[in-house]
Amino acid sequence: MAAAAAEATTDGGGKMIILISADGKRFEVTEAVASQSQLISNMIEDDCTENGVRLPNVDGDILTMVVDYCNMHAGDAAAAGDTMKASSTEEELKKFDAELVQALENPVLFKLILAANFLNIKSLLDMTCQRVADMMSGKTPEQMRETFSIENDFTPEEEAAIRQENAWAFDD
Amino acid sequence: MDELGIIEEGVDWRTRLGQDIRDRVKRDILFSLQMKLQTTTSTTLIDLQKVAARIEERIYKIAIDFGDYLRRISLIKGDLDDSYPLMLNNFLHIHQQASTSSFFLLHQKNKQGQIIQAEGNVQGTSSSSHKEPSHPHGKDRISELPNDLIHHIMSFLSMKEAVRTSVLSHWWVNKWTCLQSIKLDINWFRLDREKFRSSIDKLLLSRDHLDAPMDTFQLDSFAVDRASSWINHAIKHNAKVVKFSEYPSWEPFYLDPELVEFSSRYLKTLELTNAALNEMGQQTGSSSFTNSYLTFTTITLVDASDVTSIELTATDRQFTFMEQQGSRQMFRNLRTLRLGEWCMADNFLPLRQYVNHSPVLRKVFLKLSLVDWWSELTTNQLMALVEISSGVTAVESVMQALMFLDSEHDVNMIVSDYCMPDMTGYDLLMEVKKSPKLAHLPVVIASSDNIPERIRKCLDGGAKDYILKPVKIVDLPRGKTHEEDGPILVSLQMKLKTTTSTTLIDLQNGDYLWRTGLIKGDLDDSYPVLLNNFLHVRKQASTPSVVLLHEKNKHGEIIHAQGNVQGTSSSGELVVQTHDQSVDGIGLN
Repeated sequence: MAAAAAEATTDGGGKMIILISADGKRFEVTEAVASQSQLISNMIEDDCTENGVRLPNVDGDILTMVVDYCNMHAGDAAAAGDTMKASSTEEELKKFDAELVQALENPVLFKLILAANFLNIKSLLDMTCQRVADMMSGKTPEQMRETFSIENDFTPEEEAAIRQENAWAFDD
Repeated sequence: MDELGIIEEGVDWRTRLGQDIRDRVKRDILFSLQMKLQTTTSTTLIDLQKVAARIEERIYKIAIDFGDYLRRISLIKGDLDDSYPLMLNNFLHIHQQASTSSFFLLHQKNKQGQIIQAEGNVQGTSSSSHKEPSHPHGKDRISELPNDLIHHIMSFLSMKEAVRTSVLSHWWVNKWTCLQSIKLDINWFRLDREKFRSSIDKLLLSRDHLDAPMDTFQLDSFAVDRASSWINHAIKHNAKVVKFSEYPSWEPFYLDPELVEFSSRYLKTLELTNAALNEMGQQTGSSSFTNSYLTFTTITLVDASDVTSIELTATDRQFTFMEQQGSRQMFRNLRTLRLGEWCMADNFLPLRQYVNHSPVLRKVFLKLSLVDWWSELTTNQLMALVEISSGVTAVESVMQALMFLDSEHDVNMIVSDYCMPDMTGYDLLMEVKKSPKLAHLPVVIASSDNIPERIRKCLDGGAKDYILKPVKIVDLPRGKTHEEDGPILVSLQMKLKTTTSTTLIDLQNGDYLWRTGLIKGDLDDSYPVLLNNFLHVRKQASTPSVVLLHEKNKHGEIIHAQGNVQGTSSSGELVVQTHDQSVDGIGLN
């Protein structure tokens, strides 16, 4: 991160912002990178990023991913025409995104969703939610439970009743 | 306990029942409740004790003797302890609150069909009381996501897939019902209308309870009366997109205007396929409107009154919209209107209604399927078209009409009313003949007065013809006009006050090219603008069209109607552009 940040100062000329994770890890990023988060963008507007932005809901390892993501996508962010990573072509970005979400273990994926939601980074949120949807798609309920460790707390009768009620959705 | 069972007759068993027994029973129920709820929900009850006490109290009151009391208690406990047997129905309504507090209702029904209702405030952190899942992969993380994220995830799923999540666990049962985008197809129900109906009713009801926002509502229905109400529901709930499709091979679905109000600030897209709206009240007699159906294909609505474009091009259906009594013009912002042939019915009454309610209408495309449509158009219909245009816009004076004509190079024929406010048709004729640009144009004078001198005067003055109004079909235009080989400009003053319209008819190649330039200073309302109308009717090989085009100039100047009509091809495409003066190929060939 530090390397990316230093690079950015020379390049975008934007101010640096310190993000502090729940477990106290610090990340230095440019405004352009950080403002992909609508939350932080608003804070920048309100000028309350001076002493670093504490993100009590986001763990360090999750924040690492978020910052990586934002660094990669800083180029296509509408904000400020910052072109710091303009070299990353669209294809590279897609590849990066795909690899990012594919590699995630479930718990991390959901933490990332929560972080993206909290930080209000729409593209990241969409991407991660899409990933979860992909994992659900085309699966039977049993497989879905398996995938997401959802405990079936229905009695067989109850489950049958609910299936019956929404029977139309179950036959294909 | 046995001694309690053999109490003497006449004495209320309740008086004999010690408080200690009742307390113990309450504790047992509480224990059962706790056990049961822990395994079924992720919430903890804070006042289970109250619930337990209430259950006990209830049974205490209704039991006829101590034996009955114990039996009922054990039934309740039995129900709570193991599964939900037949006589016990449990419903869990969970209202999502800001954080994690919830409210839940527990209905219990005992064998006698009496309902015991237990209510409790439920509060909890979902993880704390959640039983560790037996799955090897670890914890159920997805069920910890807040609802809006679940819905976001579901929005990437198909409707069916989203609904299938309902059987995952209790937590999931109703998640899908809050989806912002609802899409239901009766084919999914194997055309079982009853199931379809009850499912949607149930869905909308539960959404209402949960106050779930609606974004898209898409329905493929099949003769289900309730659909009107559903559509209305969607519109009322600020849906942005409403798409309704009646089963294709079925009769158009009648959308009862009593039940549906297409009025919303949020509605952006309304697509109704094979649906009918109400005909106008006075039209329900023997007129063709009794059977008037519409097919919306694409309507873009910003508001009912902010619609900017409408396409109603089904050829075999008709449509009339509901006139809102005493309300503002319904299509205040309608600019583009595409109508099918049905709008010609009843002397263009449907078209007329649209135009009357569309003050800023700029273009009307009529898609006519008749190959030889022009021969089907009666003069009255042609006249009606002109009149319709005049209803919206009108030339302020003949001089303006002349100025308008002057700037027009694509005028083919002039039809003028004899009686006009500041100039007679004869004067107009003279002016036209004086103008080097216009002198070649044939002029037809129309008048309701059958005055021989006047007719002679006009004909002597160079008029091509003199038509008596009301125009009879024999008067105009086919037989006669086919002989005309020059372009003819038609200027008409219609009965509407101070209204002059100019119409162009290109008769040379069998086309009717109409062009009405209608300019009217809107003196009375907020549109200090002058409007021009173009009306272009062209026979095409395949799909002839009519274009009615209004232009408005914000500065209040007269804009001369400029139509750029391209191509006589068989493409069926009718092109009218509104850019400057350039006019080519307007049937002058």
